[in-house]
Amino acid sequence: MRALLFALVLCLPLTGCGEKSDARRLALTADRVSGYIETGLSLVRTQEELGNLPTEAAVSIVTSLRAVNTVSAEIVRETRPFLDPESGELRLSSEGRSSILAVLDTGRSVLQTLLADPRVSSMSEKNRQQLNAVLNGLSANLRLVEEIVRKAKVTP
Amino acid sequence: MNALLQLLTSLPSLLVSILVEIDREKQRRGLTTEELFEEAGLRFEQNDQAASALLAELLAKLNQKS
Repeated sequence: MRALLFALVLCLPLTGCGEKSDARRLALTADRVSGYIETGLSLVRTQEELGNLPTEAAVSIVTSLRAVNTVSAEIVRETRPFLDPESGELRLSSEGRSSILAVLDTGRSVLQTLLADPRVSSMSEKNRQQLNAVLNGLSANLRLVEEIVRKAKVTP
Repeated sequence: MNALLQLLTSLPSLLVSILVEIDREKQRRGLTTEELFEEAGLRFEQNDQAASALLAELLAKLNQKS
């Protein structure tokens, strides 16, 4: 029940998704991802301090969250120059698109590796559900970025 | 019964999380796209610093244990 409420809290920002330009959706997604990572770090710190999470598992999770944070910051850096400030459309060269999709793949691999990590799968049900809520939120946002990048206009 | 008690004791922190998220969402709506990108970039930097500090603490703890 607690995990369900926790997931609900993380899904709250998604309720504001209406008709928006790609630039706006991307900016909102980046902001949400940064929030998920912040929540994830705070969750790991609290649970480790309470003795609910082994220190080794905490190290593994923090390392992965940091990697996703780096990947997300890179996606924003790489994408921003290609956003048309007037129309809010994303215009990419085919190389630019491939490069961003490759970065997205890295982010997804990090999340999948973390979910498959035995130190994570052996966590208590409650802790695993909370972490899963954060990781699923991150995956959903990476999918949203991929959707925006794939439909971006390709410039010669 | 235990689950209900657990839920009741965790409600205050959940309510705080909900209020923080609602407040954050309101702030997001008031920001321009450029400002949102700036904000996210800043938070990515803060997250990196927080993660680095937390890792150092955790690794120090592990070293103490071994």
